[in-house]
Amino acid sequence: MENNAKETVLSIRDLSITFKTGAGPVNAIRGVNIDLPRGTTLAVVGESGSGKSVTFKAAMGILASNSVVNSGSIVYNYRHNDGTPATVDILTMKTRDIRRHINGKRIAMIFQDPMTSLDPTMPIGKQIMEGMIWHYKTPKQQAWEKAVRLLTEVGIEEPEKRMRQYPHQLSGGMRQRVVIAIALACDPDVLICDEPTTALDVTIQAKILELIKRIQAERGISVIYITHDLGVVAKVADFVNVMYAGRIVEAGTIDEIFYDPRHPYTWGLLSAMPDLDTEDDRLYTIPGSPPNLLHPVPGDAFAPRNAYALNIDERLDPPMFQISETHYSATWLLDERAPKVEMPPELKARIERMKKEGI
Amino acid sequence: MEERTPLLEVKGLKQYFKGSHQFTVKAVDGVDFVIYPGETYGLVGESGSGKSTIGRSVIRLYKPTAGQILFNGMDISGDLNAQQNQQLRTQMQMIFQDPMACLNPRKKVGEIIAQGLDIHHLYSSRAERQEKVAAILKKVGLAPEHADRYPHQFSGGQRQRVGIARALIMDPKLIIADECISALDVSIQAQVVNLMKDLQEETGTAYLFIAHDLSMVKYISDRIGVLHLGHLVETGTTEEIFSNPVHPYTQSLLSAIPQPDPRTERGRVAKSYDYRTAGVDYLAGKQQHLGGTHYVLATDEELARWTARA
Amino acid sequence: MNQIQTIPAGSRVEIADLRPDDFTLRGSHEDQLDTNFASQGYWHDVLHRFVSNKGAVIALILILIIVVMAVIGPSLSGRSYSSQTLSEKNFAPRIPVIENLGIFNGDEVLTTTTGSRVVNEYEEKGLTDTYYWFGSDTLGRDIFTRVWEGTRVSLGIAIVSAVINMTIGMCYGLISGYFGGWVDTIMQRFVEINNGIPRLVIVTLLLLVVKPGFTTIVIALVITEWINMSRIARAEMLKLKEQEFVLASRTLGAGSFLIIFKEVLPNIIGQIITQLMFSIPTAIFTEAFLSFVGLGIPVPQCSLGSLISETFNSFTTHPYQIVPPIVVMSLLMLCFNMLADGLREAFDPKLKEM
Repeated sequence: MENNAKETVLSIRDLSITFKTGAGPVNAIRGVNIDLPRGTTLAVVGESGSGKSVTFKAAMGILASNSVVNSGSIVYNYRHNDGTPATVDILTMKTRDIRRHINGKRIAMIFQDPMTSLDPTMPIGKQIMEGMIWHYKTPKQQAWEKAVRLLTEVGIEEPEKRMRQYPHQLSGGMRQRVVIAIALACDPDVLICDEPTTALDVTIQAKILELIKRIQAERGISVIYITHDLGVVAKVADFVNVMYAGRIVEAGTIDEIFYDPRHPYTWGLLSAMPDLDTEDDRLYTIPGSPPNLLHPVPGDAFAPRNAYALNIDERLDPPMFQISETHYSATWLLDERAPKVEMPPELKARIERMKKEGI
Repeated sequence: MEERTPLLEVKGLKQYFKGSHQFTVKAVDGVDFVIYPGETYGLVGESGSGKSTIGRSVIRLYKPTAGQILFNGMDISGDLNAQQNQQLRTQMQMIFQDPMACLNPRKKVGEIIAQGLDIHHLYSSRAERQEKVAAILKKVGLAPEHADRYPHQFSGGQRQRVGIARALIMDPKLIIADECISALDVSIQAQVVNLMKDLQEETGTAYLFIAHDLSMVKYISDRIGVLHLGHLVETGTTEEIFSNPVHPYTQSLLSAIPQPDPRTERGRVAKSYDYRTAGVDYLAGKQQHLGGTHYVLATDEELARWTARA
Repeated sequence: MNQIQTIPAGSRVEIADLRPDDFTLRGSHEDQLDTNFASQGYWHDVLHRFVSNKGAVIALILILIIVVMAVIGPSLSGRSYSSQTLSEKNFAPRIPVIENLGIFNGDEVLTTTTGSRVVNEYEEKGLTDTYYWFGSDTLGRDIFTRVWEGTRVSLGIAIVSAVINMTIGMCYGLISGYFGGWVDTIMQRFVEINNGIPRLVIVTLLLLVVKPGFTTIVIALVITEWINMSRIARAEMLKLKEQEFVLASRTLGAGSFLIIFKEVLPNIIGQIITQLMFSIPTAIFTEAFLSFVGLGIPVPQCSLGSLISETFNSFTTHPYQIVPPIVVMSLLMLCFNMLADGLREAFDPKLKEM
């Protein structure tokens, strides 16, 4: 896309995080680089345990207490209320300062399960107003009016009445809308959505995604999606990062990832998703299961499951190969000496078909 | 489909739960469907549509409030005698949703798989039991050595394989798969679905495949039933449902399936369907035949409206 | 980018130890017998967490020492717990070797109307070779022997009643929780009625019918104390019975007995053991309370509670007599509570690791 000239809001560099567990240290994040250009939507895709949530918990300063940040920086560029630009490294900030200046106010997070992220004992109106009153000392009357406006914005009918209701009186989709309204209450410029739709029904999922998309366009905020669902990614994202075993294995614009994937893991993910036109008898699968980072493997973590693995994968982790200005992929297949390997024919055929349909 | 005898026939199944004296939840409200031997019937619907309840009523975890369930020509909806019970518990099995919760964490995998054999005394010696467990482990893509491990030593996909092995060792005629892939990662889902398809080819087991994910259901099912609010709103072969969805709820479900194709996906807006505002009355509707095995729940007037629009 | 270098695609990466076959396709070799998740067993984890809790380990060691003393203690001094030597009553503690340091040498301070004076009964009676390590009581019995004898009886009562409580309460709770419906309703009403009658009333009435003694006190403790255990077992059962692995057993045709005791029980054994440990100090204390109100173990037998209530009267004149049973009882209660806490943490770590 054309966003290179744009300013980067969030820039994660060389992030490495280890968890201390009873069974030994687990190196969950092993050198992650992510850039979020202002006003765009970035999707981080990966299986459970790939470290996609942990990365952004670090950005929110809400890592579990047994975690250690080994190295890296999370640089956040923002503007003060008076418009002067500022830059901070979230990893070096004190927790109290993160709570006061970043969380909710500038970076807001939406979690997977709307039932557990709402306080069941508090009316939803109060929960929306809480952040405004805490961060901006907004007078109650003003906060109330804004909360009503927000509820209307997220598509809830009769907002005045809903303000006094409790979470259990709302349906799942409504609750997620309320969670979004809370996240928007302090006008953040980054919204992190951690699997925002997995707990919801398919029909409601699509509605929530459309809502977030609309809000992003209207407010010009930057959105990060953490998800395992490539269908969600296809619908919303501008940029995609594919994560595997604590590393980014492929990054690029949405078109690059979906129409010109280079990493075998991305091939696998794309092929494993049945689309409605698939007539094959068997689904393509990635064999085996993700590695346990408790026992670090030398070389490429994906090699044992990779049908296109090279011998070198066993010894050396591949570097990031740059394919285009925005497209990177960590696979030895992009080295000069590597044999020329094509993506699976089924996937190729599907991409050809999609390209034709799309135009 | 013509003159085959159905393996499972569900007629007018109702399952109500009493919340309190005045309040009754009608989880399933009059559902009919049949499953033929060796085929896969997919049940789709949103949460609260009663799809899991149907599965549990059929396998008699609940006692149906009303209606008839015929399995293998035997009525299993009333009280069961010992012999009926034995037949039901061996020939119908279930695979569960949560790979963490469906295996007893304090038991070794070998014990879990052999539980059915133990209960119904289906072996003559320890060696035979061990042999059967080893064979079934191999069949689901695990190794016989895995029998000595505990469930927490497996990954999610492997645990689901153990769940399948536990059902399969009884050599059942019908397996009810209750959202058995929805808790798994995408790449693992495909593994499990492929495995289930292979096993079906090999053993001729029928599946009642319950899910909310239409794309996987399409892939595995021969016929599909769409459930909404405890009513079966549309049923037919996979082809019939996907090429010619008639009921607005089915249409909204189909339009909501995310596709791994950004160009079409970006511009698409999912159809919405709300029972209260759609002007549809499930209770007044009856099953209208649309040709083949395709039925839709509608009144005559509704049917005319929907088909005219299409 | 910092550590991970970026290289244009299709270029040659410098590799220090390049091998000729490095860039040939190898394909996946996924060994199905992966060791990915071969972690340690449940009990190993529990042990690991328990050992890392220092307080609980110290408590366990102290309990073991007290138990050993309760077993061998009464026979160490050579005097039986009931033998009275009326000529040697109210002797202060005297311990060999330590007496040379000026403490525990048999001296005691007697406060009279004319002022206080130091008395040493051993010297006054000329018994230079006699040692009462913890002193002797008003009837000339060896307090050392009696304390350990009392500990033995108290621990015996506590453990026997706790185990009986556990068995009754566990079965009752599991059955009530599993079957639910009207079975549960009836069983829970019975619990409420039972719980509504004050314990003291039941025990007093009980003593009208049966003779006081070890068995009677155990019965008195069992009548009401199993309720807590049954509540815990029922709550756990309610939590687990809708779990899918229990449903799976039902679809396989497992009977109720099998499900309750083979499927659910192994999963709640941790909570049961924890509750058992908590119920032991409660039982010790209740026994002491019964002794104090005169419903305890009959003389000349003794328990920690009866020792305290006996020596309570001479507390102002001979305070050393009441100290040993109180110290032992406090230690026991503290240690059992700490041990139970440690077990609870070990079985159910609140901080779930990733």
